[in-house]
Amino acid sequence: MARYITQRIIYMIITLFLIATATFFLMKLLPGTPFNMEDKLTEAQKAALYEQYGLNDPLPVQYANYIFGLVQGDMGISFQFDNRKVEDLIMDRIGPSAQLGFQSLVFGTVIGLILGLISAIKRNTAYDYSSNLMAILGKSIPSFVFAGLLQYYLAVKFGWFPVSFWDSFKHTILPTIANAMFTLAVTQRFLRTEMLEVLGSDYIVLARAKGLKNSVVTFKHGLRNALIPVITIMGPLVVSMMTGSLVIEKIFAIPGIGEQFVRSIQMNDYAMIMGTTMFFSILFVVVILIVDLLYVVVDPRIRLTGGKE
Amino acid sequence: MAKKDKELSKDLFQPADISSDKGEELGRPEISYWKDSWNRLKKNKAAVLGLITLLFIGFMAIAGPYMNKYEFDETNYDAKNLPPRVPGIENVEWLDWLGLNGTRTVAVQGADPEDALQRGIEAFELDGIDYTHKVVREYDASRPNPDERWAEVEITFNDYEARGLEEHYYWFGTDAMGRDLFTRTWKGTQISLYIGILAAAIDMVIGVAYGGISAYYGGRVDNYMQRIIEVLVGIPNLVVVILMIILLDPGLIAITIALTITGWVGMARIVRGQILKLKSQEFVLASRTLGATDSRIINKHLIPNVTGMIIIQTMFTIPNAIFFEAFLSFIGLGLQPPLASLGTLIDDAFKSLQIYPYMLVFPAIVISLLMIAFNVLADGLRDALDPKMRE
Repeated sequence: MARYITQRIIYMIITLFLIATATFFLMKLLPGTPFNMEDKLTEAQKAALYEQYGLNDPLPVQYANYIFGLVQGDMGISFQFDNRKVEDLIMDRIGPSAQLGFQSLVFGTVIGLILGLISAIKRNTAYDYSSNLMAILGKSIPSFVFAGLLQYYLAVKFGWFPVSFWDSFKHTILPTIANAMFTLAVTQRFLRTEMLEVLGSDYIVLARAKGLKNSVVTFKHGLRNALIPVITIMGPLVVSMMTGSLVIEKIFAIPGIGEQFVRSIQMNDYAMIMGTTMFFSILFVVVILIVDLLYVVVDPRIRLTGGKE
Repeated sequence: MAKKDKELSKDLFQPADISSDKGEELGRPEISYWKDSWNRLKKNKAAVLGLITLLFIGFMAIAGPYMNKYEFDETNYDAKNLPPRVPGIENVEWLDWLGLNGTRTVAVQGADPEDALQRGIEAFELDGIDYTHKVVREYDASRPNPDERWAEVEITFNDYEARGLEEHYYWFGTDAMGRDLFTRTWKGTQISLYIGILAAAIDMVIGVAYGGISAYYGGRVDNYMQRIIEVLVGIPNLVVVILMIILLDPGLIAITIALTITGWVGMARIVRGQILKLKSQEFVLASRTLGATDSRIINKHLIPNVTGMIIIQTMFTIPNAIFFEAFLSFIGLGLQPPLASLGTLIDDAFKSLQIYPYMLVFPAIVISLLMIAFNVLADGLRDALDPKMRE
């Protein structure tokens, strides 16, 4: 176990280092500087700004500074947002994004699991078909299209929900639903497949032969085993939360990380882009690691030697 | 059982005449793998429906932009933000709810309903034109929200008549620059499909080559190639795509490159897994014993056996690529005007969603149908091509 974890963490660090390096050099290749738009600046002022932000240093020095800063949690200073530290800006904005992500993850997974369970138990009935239809729609319709429909019909036209912003719980309902659709779909399909496979296995047949009640077989023997592999889809779901945060926060004007990221792209705010990219990457890599470890812990059938492939 | 009681006389039984040369004959016509898969796919109603939808959308993407007299980048500022109007349907009263008759409803506020109506008539130049109006509320000073104290009327009128554009028919309406949305929607579909298919094709080529080489040669080669993949898998695709788009000038090529730079990893892993399984089987050994070269074994024995898997994976890649393109366009990293993709059309539509919702409706329907059709067909293909499912 210890060897496996060490190996995984080394990979994680290599990956993050590569991302940081790639991010840094890609940003340096970009045309323009963050001060392009400020026509009013004199040459002297520009030079002073360059000096202040270390843009005059040779590239290797800038790179070393960036990496060393990053290791200490220093992501540099944002060029546009009031000259504040990138890590502070991200932390300021993390609340709404985390809430949106958490709510949609919980909502999507719970509803998805329920639908998947119904689908598997009532296989090839109207319940199964409607549940599958919902999953197909949730997987196919892009979240921003779905968000647009929800926003127009439920908020603008019928006025049941606020159109945008992030205030009371009521404000969070539409964004949560829109963001959760993909999660819901993926969970439903995954649990349905797993559950059908488990219900067809020998120990379920044995349990039935012993004369156990149907509900005991389904829930205690079936569902418990089918739930374990669901952990593995957490990786794609975290990515969908990140993608979702960019578009959903833009549509509903939610003051979160995603909305800020989209704006920093438009403003050429290198430090902010690099910072947010690193933040997303770290989040992703850490979640994948936790998921893999958790899976090993929960399912004793998985052996560690040589990875889990 | 009734059958038991039946008299069975001896002459009902005759020895079957089997000559030795007939022992090898097949009882049923030989069905190839592809024919068999096609038969299975045909039984899957959803997949067939998906296929038909795709063919229809594909046809419209090619022919749609030429179906009327407007060009996708032709602006007409006199005709901006026009609602949809379709000849034929516009006169059918019970289809009015579709909103395809060129009418527009606006809410106007005033000191009292009469005043509001007058303001509306002036603002939209409705003199001498048919309109209907509905009083939404009277003036009431006691309402807490000052904006809601004014009287409000809803005026419904034909926007084409009001602007003197009776001879025009914009089937899906026009955008904020007076461009025909019908032409733009299908032009956008064309570009979205193009990006999706191109990205999937490049993913396929790189993925199959990488996975194939890695698995076939095995050993140290495989080890190194897999370490590279392990690092790449750890990088969120979203991050790479955004960085690449920022680096390259936004456009068709940039999006395609960005999508393919990490997209092939999934394909490579699947192909590697399959080839690893196949290459230790007897028919490969037999071929090798007969002196077949590596390339012959790969091309004639291994690749054909993983074709099904490759097709399934590609079918899932296409809708993913279409989604990512739309997503990038939506956050402002996509195609630049006057080019249109479904994503840019949706992005534009969001800017005036509350006033002109029809701008969102059509591209939204097309992209949703496209994604659903691809996903359903891919699911169907997986069931049809997966050898494990063969009876």
